[in-house]
Amino acid sequence: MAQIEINGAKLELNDEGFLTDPSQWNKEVAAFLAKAEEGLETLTDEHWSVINFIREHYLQNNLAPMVRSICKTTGLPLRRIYELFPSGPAKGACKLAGLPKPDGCV
Amino acid sequence: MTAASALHLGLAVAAIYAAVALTFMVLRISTLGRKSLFSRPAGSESQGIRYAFTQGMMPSAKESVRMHQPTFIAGLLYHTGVFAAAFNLLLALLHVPIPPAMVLIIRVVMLVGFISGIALLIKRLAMPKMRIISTPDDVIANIIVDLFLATSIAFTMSKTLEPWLLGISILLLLYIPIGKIRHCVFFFVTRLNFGRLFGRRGVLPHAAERKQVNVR
Amino acid sequence: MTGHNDAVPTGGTPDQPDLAGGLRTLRTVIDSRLAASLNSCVHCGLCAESCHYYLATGDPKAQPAFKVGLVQSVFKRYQTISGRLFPALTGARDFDRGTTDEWIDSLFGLCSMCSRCTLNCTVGLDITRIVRAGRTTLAAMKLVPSELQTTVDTGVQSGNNMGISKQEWLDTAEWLNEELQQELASDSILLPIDRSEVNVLYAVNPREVKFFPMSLMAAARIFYAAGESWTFSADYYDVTNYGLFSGDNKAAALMSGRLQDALRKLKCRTLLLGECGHGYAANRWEAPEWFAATPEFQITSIVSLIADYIKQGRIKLNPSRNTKRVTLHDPCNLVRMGGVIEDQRFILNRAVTDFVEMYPNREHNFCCGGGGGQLSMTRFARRRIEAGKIKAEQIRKTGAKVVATPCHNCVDQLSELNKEYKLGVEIKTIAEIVSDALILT
Repeated sequence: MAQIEINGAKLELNDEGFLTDPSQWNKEVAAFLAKAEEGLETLTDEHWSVINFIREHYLQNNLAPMVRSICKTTGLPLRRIYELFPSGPAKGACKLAGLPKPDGCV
Repeated sequence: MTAASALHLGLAVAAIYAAVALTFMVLRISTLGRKSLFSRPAGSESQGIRYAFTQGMMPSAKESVRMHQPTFIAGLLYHTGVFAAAFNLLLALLHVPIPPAMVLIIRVVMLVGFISGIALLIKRLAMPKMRIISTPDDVIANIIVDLFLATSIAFTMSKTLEPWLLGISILLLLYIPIGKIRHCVFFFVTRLNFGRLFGRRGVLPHAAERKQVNVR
Repeated sequence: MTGHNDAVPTGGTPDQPDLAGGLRTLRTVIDSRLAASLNSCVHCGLCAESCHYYLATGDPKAQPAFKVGLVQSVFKRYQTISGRLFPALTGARDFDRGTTDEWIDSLFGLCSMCSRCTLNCTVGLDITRIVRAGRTTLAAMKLVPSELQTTVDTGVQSGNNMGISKQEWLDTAEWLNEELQQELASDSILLPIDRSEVNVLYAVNPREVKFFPMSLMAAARIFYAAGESWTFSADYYDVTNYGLFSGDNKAAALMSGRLQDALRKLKCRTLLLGECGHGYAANRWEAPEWFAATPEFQITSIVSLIADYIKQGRIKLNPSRNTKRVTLHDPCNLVRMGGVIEDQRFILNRAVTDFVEMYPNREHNFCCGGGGGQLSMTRFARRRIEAGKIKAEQIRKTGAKVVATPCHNCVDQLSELNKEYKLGVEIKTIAEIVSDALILT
């Protein structure tokens, strides 16, 4: 477990860098994780379109969306997703969107 | 009955007990679980078994052995010493005369085995990594075998020590089924299973031919 | 890992485990081969360095002999005469909460079930099966770490380990099919679903469907080029089987059984297993034992099938499309415990221009660290990454820019190692590399 502090708020990350309490997420957290976990200095509109969609989908369904839905909704081609998030949709984009780690081989 | 013949009788009883106990243990476990396997083999179990008892026994076959040459050699010499001592005991019981040169060879082999056994014991007690995986049995079994080797060596120098040799031999035989020395039979069962497993799956014996490619 | 001995379901809860029930389970999972192993360990300790956990940390509790001892001590206490009579002498130990806590920490937390110690044991003990027997016992007492257990539960309940709905699966397949049709200017179905009486039923890792579908397209491209008659099943396509790792034979058999049933329903000839190490070991080697029946169909890895395509001239490759230096990571359960050893090398030698081995390789290779369910168990993630140091160094020494591996589980761990140890490599599956080199006429 690691403690981080963003704008005075204390947050906890698990050993894989995922937010322990997904409800604590906000845009500053995303920006912090982008830099700490993905080495991204700035998040572009493309990044945000993916992150925001994943976040909305998670709040509605309690699940990460399929990469197909991400592409269809954001209009981004599949390859672009992996360019935007070096760790991929699961350990990259979903982590930045404050989701817990998905089940399975990820 | 004289003390000597009592010891001989005791030794015979202990030997029978050890043989029966070991046989019983092997038979007992052989009843556990199902025997046949249902997956389609990719390789040959019999070739795997052959490998396990031939090339697979070579020190070059396993990285674990290559990395621990001194321990492996000590273990090899220790076991050789034990076999020499057992042979020596058998000859004594059968009153077979041994030429002096051979006595000397047996004595040296047993002595080297004894030293190796002590070295392995010291290693076990000295290294934290070894202590954590050791039980009292690991120590006691080693000491009993070392005693057996020591009395065997002494016996080659003075026949008057025969009662001591017989006594220690009885102790050893009684202890074999109780502790780890039972590996004298289970080793072969486990080795067989090892060959079957990797033979069936098509992993061994091909590895031996590829040795040069695999490791550097 | 013969699993005919189902975990005996016990009462109890994780807080109040049914220890007696656990012991009953242990008794049923110990067959003659395991009992021989447990009677054979002489605690020589030479196995220590075969374990990447031990090598990376030097923790004496990480050495395989210690893990064997944990199970062996309980086996002795309850299943051997001398252990019952002289527990202190033989190191026999009561089965209590302290024991189960140690088992969880060690058998789940310090082992990726890679079997490298099994290969290296000087006697020949099947150490992996001993660890798994311990895990099965813990599973019967509901003591599997919750993150691993939910992965198994999701698989059992939803039909795949990521909880993908059938509609999402069908939508994704349709989407990929359209993309591929466009790319190949073809109007035939390139990702068929539920086609019957075809040669191959293809099972994949759900993470491909959910997050990494490029490898599905790669496989479809290869099948297209080879003119293969193949299909996915609409219902069951998950090649993974986390029951192998949780030790729960009932769940494991259920999951492998679904693939077999899907194949029978569609009357296919070959169950083709996607690039997944443990999925191969589970479905190819263990499932027949779980069902006590030899399958009437072929069970093959896609790696072997691709090698056959090349040998038969059914696909042609242009290696000059893959000019970066490539090394190969051998997934333990496909190679050391699976026997698929040379096919991936045969392929890479024809699909790339600069293929180099890492050392040691093949059945001697080190685990990436992600096996045994480790990727799912967040609580042990630190140890997993630390133990992966051995693999990271192996990769670094090759100077490769691409690490090929026929296992999506390994891909994920290798990707993490790439980040943690700054290896600067790309991780790819075999199908992706072949697909890149494919000459489509």
